[in-house]
This record gives sequence, structure tokens and C-alpha cells, in this order.
Amino acid sequence: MTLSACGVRPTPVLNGAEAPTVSSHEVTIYLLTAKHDQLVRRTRAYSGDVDTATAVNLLVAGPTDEEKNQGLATEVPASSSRAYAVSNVLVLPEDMAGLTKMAQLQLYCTAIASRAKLEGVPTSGFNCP
Amino acid sequence: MRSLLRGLRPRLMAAFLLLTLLGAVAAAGASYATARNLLLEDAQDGFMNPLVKDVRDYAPKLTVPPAQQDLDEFASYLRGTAFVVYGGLRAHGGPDLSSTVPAEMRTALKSSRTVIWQRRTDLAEPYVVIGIPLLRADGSNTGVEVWAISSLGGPQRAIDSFAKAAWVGVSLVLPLALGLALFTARGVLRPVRRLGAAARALGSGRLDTRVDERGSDELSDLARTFNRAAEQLESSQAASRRFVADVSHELRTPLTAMNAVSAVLDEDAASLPPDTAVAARLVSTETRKLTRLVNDLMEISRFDEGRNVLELDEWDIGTAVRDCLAARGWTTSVQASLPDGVTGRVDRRRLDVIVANLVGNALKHGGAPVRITVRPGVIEVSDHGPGIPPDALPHIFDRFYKADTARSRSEGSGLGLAIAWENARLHGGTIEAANDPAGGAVFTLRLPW
Repeated sequence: MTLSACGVRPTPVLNGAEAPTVSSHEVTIYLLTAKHDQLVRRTRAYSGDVDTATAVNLLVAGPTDEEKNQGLATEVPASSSRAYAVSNVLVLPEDMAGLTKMAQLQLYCTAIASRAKLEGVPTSGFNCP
Repeated sequence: MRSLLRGLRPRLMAAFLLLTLLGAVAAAGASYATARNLLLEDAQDGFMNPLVKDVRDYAPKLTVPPAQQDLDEFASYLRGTAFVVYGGLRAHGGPDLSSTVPAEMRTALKSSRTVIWQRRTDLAEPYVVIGIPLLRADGSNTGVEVWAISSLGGPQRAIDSFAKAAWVGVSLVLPLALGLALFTARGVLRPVRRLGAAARALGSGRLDTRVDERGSDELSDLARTFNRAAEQLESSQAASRRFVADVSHELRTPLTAMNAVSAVLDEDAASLPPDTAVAARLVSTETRKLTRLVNDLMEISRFDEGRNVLELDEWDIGTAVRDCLAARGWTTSVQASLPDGVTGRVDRRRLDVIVANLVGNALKHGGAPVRITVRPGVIEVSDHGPGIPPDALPHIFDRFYKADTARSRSEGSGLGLAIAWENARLHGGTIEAANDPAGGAVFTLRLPW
């Protein structure tokens, strides 16, 4: 009895090392005003791995609820697949044909902000806000 | 229990055992506690540290808020050892701890900014639970939690076997301590016992008793003190005996003259006036008594100084006793049983003194008939008086001892029995005084003839 009493004793809940932190990155995407006539530069906090395609994928995923409440919109169509990067060239999903002028500008500026180029989007020379 | 602990030896041994037990238990307990903590810490750290490191390594890659796929990838990065949850989502591939993790820890983790852990014993084996929250850079909780559990059964078995070994060690030390205690107790008690025996010997009159006083401890100090006390006692006794001897010697010369004068007075008493005649006879009687006392004192002094020597010769004991009685005119008043042929090597003069003193004492203080019996090695003198009071028996051979304190003046010097005893001792024999159950005192002289 004595032996088990001085054996392994339970402890209260104890604090150990500092908790691990997830990464925090700033990702810039371009949305549209409510009238769909102007680009709006938007910086989002993003946790996780960031590559050149991250910003474009976030753009494809659409505005968040908060952004919608602020009256921001997008013309980039939603897609079930993701964009990916080949070197610094971004490849968009196949089902994203027939982009509007504003959608092209959104994608172009977002890609530029990620230091990438977008093939087949003829908007070179446009100054992003 | 009290009587068991009264002796020095049990007390010493109990103290030794208690000390050993305390020391052994303290040492075993301290090393046991240290070993237990080390074992547990080792097991816990070995389980928690790699897991925390893996989570920390993976955390920057985790997308927040995570999709099911993100959680699954996270869990597979942790090799399926942990349970990864986010709100209602949980990763596939890890252990399902949703019901095992205690509610208090789940609550604690929600607001914790550190890894939390707890050792628990509510299952068959003790185990440790660790919860790791994932935080954002600003310190807010992402809601992603990693849980893991590890059994401490291995360390517990190691700790238990260590405890058993500690108890076995303690119980092995105890007999050793007991032996050591016995040894020490003997070392202390032997001189104490020797001192006790010496003190008893001193008390019974052997003033030349000394004890071994070698060594420098307290017991040797005590032995030295004892020896000094015995020496002082002996020298003061020797001084008083020398004084008695000197006084007796100084008295003898004038007494010799007084004896001669009083003998003349005694002879001429008839021609003196009646009053003067009484005085002359009184002086003569007292002078004779005084002479005998001084002679007895000188005899005792010679015994004390060891100047008396035996002149042994082969004698017929019956004849010697008969001559002794005849010389003092006791032949009719004493019933003598004196068989022929009992011979022995004795000092005839000293045997005469012994017999005369014993018989004279019996005639004076005992009742008639006084009987003397000679057997080989033994001469027995008995009377039919009131016997010796029991409290007087041990002192009956002491000098000037009087069994009856009311009898202040007697015929004898008060040294008769003491002289008889000294003479017997000189022969290497003894005199015993006892009371006959049928009444009267019995003095038994035993001589090694």
C-alpha cells in the first residue's frame, strides 16, 4: 500500500512551453467597387504556406463576408480547381474562360502584386492602384 | 515494556536501531524520490518534447482556418501520434481522443497560451496528457488543437522495482546495525560490569581491589577515580590500624608494671583494711582485663600487618581440642565429641586460640549445654541459648561487635571472634555462624587440613 502511495502521483494541469504560432502573411488582392467600375486594393492576413498562386487563389475564392458588407464585389468567376504557378507564371483553371475586362484587371493586378505574370491577359501597361 | 528498556544494553540497541532506521529510510527515501522524479521527467519529456517540436515545425505551413484536408495533412505529418481538431472538424489518421481528454483540460486549453499537460492516474496505468494550442502571431487562439496521450506504465514499473530495492536495502541494513549495537553495547558494558564487581568487592572489605584503568575514555576516568578512592580508603584504614598498633604497644610497657604491682596488692589484700582490699582487687581485675584487651589488639594488628605466620605441624585434632578444654577448666561444662584418629596439619597454638574463643563465646553468651564436635575437616561448636539475632549474623565476626547492645560491658575484649576468624583465615579456612533450627547458635570451623 505504501509503495503504491509513493509511486506515480497525479498532477494538476500544468503549463509547458510556449504554444506554437501559425505564420501570418499579408496577401494583396484586387476587388471591385459596388458599381464594378474601379479596382480596390485589399490586403488580407493569411496563415499558411504562401506562394505566387496564393493571392490569385484567394481572389478566385471570392470576397469574404466582411468585404461583401463593405460593398466590395468581384467579377472573377468561382472555380472548383485552383490556380498554380510555374516559375513566376500563373496558370488559371481551365473553367475560367470568357473573363470580363474588370476580371482580367483584377487578376492582372493581383498577379503583379504577387510578383507574377499572367499569360494571355492583355492588360500590360495598366497601372494598378 | 519499561522493564525491557531499563538495561543499558536494550537502550543502546534501541537507539542504534532507531538511528539506523531513520538514516536508511531518509537516504532511501531521498534517492527514491529523486529517481522517481528523474524517471517520470525523462518519460514525459521524451514524449512531449518531440511532439511539441513537430507541431512547432509544421505550424507555419498550416492554413488557418484549416479545411479537412489541411487537418489530415497535419495529422499525417505528426505520423498519426496525435489527435488534431479544429472546432467540429477532426483529422483522420490519428487516435480518437475526443472522449479520453478530460473536460477540464479541454476548457483550460481554450484560453491557454502555452502547451498544457497533466499526469493522471484514473486509468489502470498512469498516463500523461498533452494539449497544444496553435496561436496566431498576435497571440489569439486559432482554434486548432493537438492532443496526445502517453502511458507511464514503464516508468511506474521501474519506480516500483526501485522502491522494492530500497526497502530490501533498509531491511538488510537493520541486522547489521543490530550486530554493531550488540558489539558496542558489549564494549561499553564490560568495563561497567567490571567496575560493579570491583565496587562490590570493595564493599565487602577487600580494600586492595583495583580495576584496569587503561584507556582515555570516560569509563577509564571512572576506573581511575574508583582506584584513587579505594587507595585512599585503604591507606586511611592502614593508618588507623597502625595507630591502634602503636597505642597498644605503648600501653603494654606500663601495663606490665601495673600487672606486677597489682599482683602484689592482690596477694596482700587480706592484710589490708576492708575498703582498701576491695579497691586493690578491683584494680587488679581491671588491669588484667586491660592487659588482655591490649594483647588482643596487638594480635589483631599483627594480622592486619600480615606479620602472623603459620607454624604447621601434624596434630591429632581430638587431642588438641581436649587439651584446650582441659587447660581452661572447661572439661566438665562442655560436652565434647572427640573421635580419635582425626589428624590435620595445623598451627597448634592458633587452633587452640580458635577453639578457646568459640567455646568461651558459647559459654558466655549461649545457654548450656555447650557441645563441641570434631569431624574430619570440621570443628563444630553449638549451644542451646537464644541464638544469634538475624540482623547480627553478618557482623558477628566484626571487631568490637556486640549482638546485644544492652550488654555494654562483658568479660571479653570484643575481639575474640574476630581473632578466631583471622586465625581460621590464616589457615585458609572459614568460620560460619548460623542458628540451629532446633535452637541455639552453631559455629562451624572448616580447615583444609
